Amino acid sequence: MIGPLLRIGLVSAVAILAGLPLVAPRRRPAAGDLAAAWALALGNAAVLALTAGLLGLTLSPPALLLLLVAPGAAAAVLGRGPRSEPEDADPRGGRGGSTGGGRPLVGASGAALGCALAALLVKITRVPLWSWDHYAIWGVKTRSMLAGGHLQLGFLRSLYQTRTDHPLGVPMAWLVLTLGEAPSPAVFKALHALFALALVAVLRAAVRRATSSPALANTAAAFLAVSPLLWDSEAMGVAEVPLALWATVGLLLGGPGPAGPGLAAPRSRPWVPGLALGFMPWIKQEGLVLGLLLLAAVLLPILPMPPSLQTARSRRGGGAIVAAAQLCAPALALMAAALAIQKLVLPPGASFFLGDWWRRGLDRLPLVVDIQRRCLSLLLQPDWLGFWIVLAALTAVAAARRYGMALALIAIVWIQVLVYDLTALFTYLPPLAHLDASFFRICAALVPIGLLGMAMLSRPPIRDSEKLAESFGSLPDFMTQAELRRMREEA
Amino acid sequence: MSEVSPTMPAKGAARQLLAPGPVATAGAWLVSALVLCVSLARGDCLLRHPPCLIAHGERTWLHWAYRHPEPQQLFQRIGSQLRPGEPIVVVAAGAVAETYWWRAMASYFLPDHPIAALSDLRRSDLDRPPRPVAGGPAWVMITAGGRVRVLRAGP
Repeated sequence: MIGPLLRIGLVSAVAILAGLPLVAPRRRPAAGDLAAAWALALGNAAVLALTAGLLGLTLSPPALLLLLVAPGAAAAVLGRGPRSEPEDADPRGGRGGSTGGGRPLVGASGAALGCALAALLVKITRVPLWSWDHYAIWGVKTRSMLAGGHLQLGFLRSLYQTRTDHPLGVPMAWLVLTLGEAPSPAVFKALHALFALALVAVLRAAVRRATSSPALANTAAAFLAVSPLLWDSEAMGVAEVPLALWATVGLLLGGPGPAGPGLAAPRSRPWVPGLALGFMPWIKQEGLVLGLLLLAAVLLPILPMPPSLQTARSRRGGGAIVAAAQLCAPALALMAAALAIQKLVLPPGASFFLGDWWRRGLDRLPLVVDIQRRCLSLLLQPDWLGFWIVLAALTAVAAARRYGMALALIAIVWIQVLVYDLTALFTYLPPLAHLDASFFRICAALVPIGLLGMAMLSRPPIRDSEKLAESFGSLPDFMTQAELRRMREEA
Repeated sequence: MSEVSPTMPAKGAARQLLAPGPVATAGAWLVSALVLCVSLARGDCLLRHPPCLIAHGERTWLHWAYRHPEPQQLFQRIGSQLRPGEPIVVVAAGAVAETYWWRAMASYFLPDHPIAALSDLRRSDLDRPPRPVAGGPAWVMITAGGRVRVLRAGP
């Protein structure tokens, strides 16, 4: 057990080093940056390893390490003009200042986060790995798809009642961390703990960046740790936590800074969040819809705005188009590749839309009320600690007050819930049984996005952002000096 | 004279503008307190023997999906008695009714040993075990207590 854990630790350190040139080029990284770098490097390596494996190349441990390091090394060597100033990380030697509720709240929320994480780690240690989907889908693929360094997918056809067409990105990411060794259940639990901690760190950084408030960041991260996504051990060894992780990494790297959409400043080069969002269909099939929705949300602040909403910073014209293209190109290319592998390489599984799904949906229309009632009852379970009730209430607030990005994120959560809800109408499974089997679990992966959207409501709505833009001289905390200088000149 | 110029507001003014309002601050206090209470209660629950597992998925699926405790040890005992690549017939109580469980677990823990068939183990089979066919798969007999016997027709 110690050997595999040491190996995972060493590979994780390499992954962080490999991802940092992409995530935080030449600046002091915060904990969220380290977690995002780790995830981004792993995702890139999983894509490269699957591609190399399908081409017949051997995935030996050195080859896997090379694939892990290559994208970051290329970015470090070829990247031009990375920013060198610190962004919104905690100040050197500080604990994040006293904004956002004062030190007592920062301390209390930090204590809550610490307690929640401690309880989570105790739980992961004490609970057996029992999730059915782990044994029948995700775990069995991880343990069988790499034999002697060669990717072999023939075993998929012999698996009993499993989802043969589910993407292989997560099993390959796990195998990159173990350098190709089939993980035991105990190692799977360690991998789950790593992904859970990374998700908490990335969400904390994303909320911190969006709100400038360490207290809100701690609070959101603490709530995530006690939410069903991380607390329910059904999620151990399956792909919900990875899906939420890459979605949150995309939002951390591509989401706007604290001053609202008018002053949106992507944190990294535009194509980097595209890599994270593009990996989502490699994780789960629903990652395609969710990834596209998040891509649209990240894209909106980049595109030129109508003159009435333009601030000095947002008048970037052709540059904005180029940035949008740089964001979309890798994301869409990765998504297309994931679809191509699913259609052309993986054996056709028992697709949820097997048979005449349209006819089936029409026949089931009388069940719509029952389906909605079942979904509602699942979302109102006490396990959520009121998350969906509060989200519903804040949706109305966000819509009424024109909170741009916050509203977009909250809307994405509801759209995705609706997609899961309506899917039950068309699948070959009995709709209510299908909802009972998975609706609760897959909705849990949306919690980080909802938490980020809710936290963003604490910042000024669009009109106030414009006022903020007028006081540009006080924004060096999250703007580059060059951008600040340009705005002064324009003024 | 104030140090704040009309074009250059005071340092930190943006942070003040961006600081969460009283509603967000109150919400953060409330959620932090909620998380603290929930974590302490759950921690206490977890440290009991056996730990109480009462999250939604655990309430709904744990006993359905994890019906035979310690599957890893069980399949390690089976695997240690098998020859490389040897196909098997699983003979266990309720094996036919639980085909999906045995096949999924065997694929997971014993990927090199395809399951040729499943057969229910009755109490009488313990006294008069079935006779495997020569050259055929090995018969893996698993009792409810988790004892494993592997039967083969020949050497």
